Amino acid sequence: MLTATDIHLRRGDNTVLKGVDFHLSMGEMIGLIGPNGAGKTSLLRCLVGLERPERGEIRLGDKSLAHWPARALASEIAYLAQSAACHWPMAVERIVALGRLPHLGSWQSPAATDVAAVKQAMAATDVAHLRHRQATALSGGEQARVQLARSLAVGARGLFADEPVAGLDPGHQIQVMELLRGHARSGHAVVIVLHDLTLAARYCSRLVLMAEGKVAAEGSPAEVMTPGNLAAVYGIAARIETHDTGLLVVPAGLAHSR
Amino acid sequence: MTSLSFARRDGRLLLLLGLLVAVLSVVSLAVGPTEIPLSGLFESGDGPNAIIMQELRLPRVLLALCVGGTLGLAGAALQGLLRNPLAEPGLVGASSSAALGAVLVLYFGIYNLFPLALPVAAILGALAAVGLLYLLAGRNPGVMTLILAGIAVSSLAGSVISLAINMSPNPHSAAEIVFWLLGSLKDRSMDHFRLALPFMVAGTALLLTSGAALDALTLGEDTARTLGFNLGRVRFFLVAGTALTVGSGVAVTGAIGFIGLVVPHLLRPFVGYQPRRLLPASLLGGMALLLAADIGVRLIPTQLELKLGVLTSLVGAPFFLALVLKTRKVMQ
Repeated sequence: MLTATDIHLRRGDNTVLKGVDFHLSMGEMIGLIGPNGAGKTSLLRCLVGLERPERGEIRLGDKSLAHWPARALASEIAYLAQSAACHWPMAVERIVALGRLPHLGSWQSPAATDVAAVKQAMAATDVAHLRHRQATALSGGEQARVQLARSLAVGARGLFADEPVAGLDPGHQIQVMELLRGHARSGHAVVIVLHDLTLAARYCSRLVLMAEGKVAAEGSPAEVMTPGNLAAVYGIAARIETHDTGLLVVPAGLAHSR
Repeated sequence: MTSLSFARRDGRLLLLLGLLVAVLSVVSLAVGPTEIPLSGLFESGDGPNAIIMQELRLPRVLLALCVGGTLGLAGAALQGLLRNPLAEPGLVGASSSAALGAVLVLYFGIYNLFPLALPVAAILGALAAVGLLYLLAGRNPGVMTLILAGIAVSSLAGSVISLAINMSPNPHSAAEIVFWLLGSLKDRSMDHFRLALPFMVAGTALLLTSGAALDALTLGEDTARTLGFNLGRVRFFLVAGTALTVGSGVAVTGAIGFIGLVVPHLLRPFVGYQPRRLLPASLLGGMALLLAADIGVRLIPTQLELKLGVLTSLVGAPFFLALVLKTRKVMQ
């Protein structure tokens, strides 16, 4: 679906991405992990077209990302920003319906397909019962799910989410991760930036471990989550156990080499 | 879930506002020092009724509709762009900068040679102010930055206007500038209306077409971009639309403040706080409020006629203070 080759990005005097290659296929859920400042968010922003790399190419389908018209790109790729929020106290269903904007003309009212997409996205994220509530009056977890519903309502082939479970309680974290995995398995492509290594190992089909603007390791969770990789990138000594639900990653302390 | 369709839901509100505007327009035509039948509007010839109705009161009502409507609309659009309920053409310095442009044209006597220079200079003034505000306050300004940037732009424009008054060749022309600055719809002609109308229509079109983008902007600039909006173009439309409407309005009526602050604030709960739905409602609401204020200045018994801009400021400033106190709690 999407391929990035040799991506370089500068921000001010810093080179934040130094030759990143990335490939995403339909049905995949890729977790971008790595320490703070590793370039995860920068890569995600490049992949959705928010930043233009100074070198390298990103191709979506058979066209370069830069050549996609904005509207067409918006219906192919949905983006969920980190700690996304709504600035006005609008009703939940109105916010979710904003996800349909790429499909509507300036003054066009939502059609039956739009209404159905909004309804489905609210049901999937468990916010349907809040639909008439003002989003600004909801708890942090509820607001996060409303924003996720908004990005699902786009009905795009690819969903790119920046820390969608930050600030959620464990129950809602699992709910969101299962939802995203189900979304990928239903034939969509999902890329998420994550800090929780156990959630990443358990739910993502592939992991990309980043460090200092480069890809440090890439592959299945078992291939990437090794004590050696985690010590090299995070500087932690981690215990990695195989559990019936997947890998369990327990950071036990700082690695001695640090 | 038919409630997602805004056309039907807002229909009743827009109809009510439209009716209010129609009633106030008729009242405004009827109010004046002498009682004149409304039929004067349709009389032909040089009878006093026809002249007063067609050349004094009709332009007054038409200008109230144009200026009030566009001030309400521009306020709603600016608040949507900056995602801040305190943004208003007057408070961000657009009105005073437009006034500066107009004062310079009046001061140097360019208006007598080339009347179109008046709205053009005012529009350029407003454009500079909104552009400067954007540079000073950034793309996502907090309440304080917005107000401070507005103060800076307004003071700059105000000081140059003061200079013009200070340097005016005689007390009469100084008084003329001062009175004009206070803002009024009195003694305006159809020529003023015709001068402002094309700019008003163009500006209104630019602002109204930005509704969907304003909705997207409620989610922040990044998300709006990934929803397919070209924010550079959106900003240009909104800044140019505000400058065209506010500039041409100030050029013919002087500075009339607070309409763009009060109207969107009052109507926002009725449209579910959605910026796009607020635009047409604020257009009609602005018309109604300015008509009502203009009727007010003629009915309030004062020795000299109370200026419209003075009345809107007297009512609007306390309203603004209350709003600052309220938003300070929410937005800090």
